[in-house]
Amino acid sequence: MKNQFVLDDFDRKILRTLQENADYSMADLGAKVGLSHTPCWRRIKRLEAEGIIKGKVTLLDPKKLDLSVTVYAYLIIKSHAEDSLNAFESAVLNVPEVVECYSTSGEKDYVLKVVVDNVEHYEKLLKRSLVHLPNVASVNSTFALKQVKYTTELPL
Amino acid sequence: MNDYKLDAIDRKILTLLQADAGIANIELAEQVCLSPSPCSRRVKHLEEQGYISRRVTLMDPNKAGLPVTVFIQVTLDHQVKRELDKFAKQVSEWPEVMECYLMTGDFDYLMRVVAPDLHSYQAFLDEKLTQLEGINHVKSSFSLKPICYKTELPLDHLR
Repeated sequence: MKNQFVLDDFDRKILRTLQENADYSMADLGAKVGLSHTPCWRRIKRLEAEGIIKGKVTLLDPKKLDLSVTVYAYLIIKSHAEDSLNAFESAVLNVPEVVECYSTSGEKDYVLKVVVDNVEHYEKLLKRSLVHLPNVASVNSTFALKQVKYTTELPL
Repeated sequence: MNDYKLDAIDRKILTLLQADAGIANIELAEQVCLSPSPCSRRVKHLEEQGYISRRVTLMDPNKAGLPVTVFIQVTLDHQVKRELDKFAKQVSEWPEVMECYLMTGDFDYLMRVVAPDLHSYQAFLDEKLTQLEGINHVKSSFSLKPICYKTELPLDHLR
């Protein structure tokens, strides 16, 4: 595997804490994980340099933004030629409503997670955008009735 | 529901903060064409109004040793509230589960799970998921490649 970097207990503690809350000051973080300022800072810099830490983001409340509809769309594509796949994969990045996309094993080729404000909007997005993405043969949409869990925190 | 209506500057602020929570107020202010103190007042207001949930650090799952992503479709024996609630509560506690939704369609729940390798995923199935009472059917589909993963919500509909 490419990943040669081994995390020790301090690294894991730092990462768990920062994944949960990016706002900690170096002093608070150090106190929480049991390190003084400089060693703690050095470890964070190393985790950033190794690319293990990708960045700090702000999570917004989808309900406050009226984004009440989450859809999982399963796509089948027309051609598995590399060029066609690449065309689809770069085009899907430009659809802001698509927040996640994975190519998958099984009978479907891609799964997309889409968030929108209402079903009519999804209908429009489907007709005007998703089915016209390069190389798309069919789209099968399933709607989420309720969110049970959503986290950005990876298990360590 | 929402008394406060977001204006174009608010939306720009939210867009920038979604992409980078570490942006300095002075830079944020410059990008939205405000002076620093009205800009920080707006951010504070957006926090107080509940638009901003929290700031988190994102990790690269591959580099963190979690290259395996699996979508699991789960069907329960009975779709009664008691069983649904029990399932939801248990799933929320498992750290491997990044997302879980109750769905319309042929199955009940869709989960996204991350794991270090197939062996660990198998252990998750054997020791956790299939041990739950009331599980009728579990279908896994592996992610071959993540194309896009973002935490940034679309804001264009608010215009």
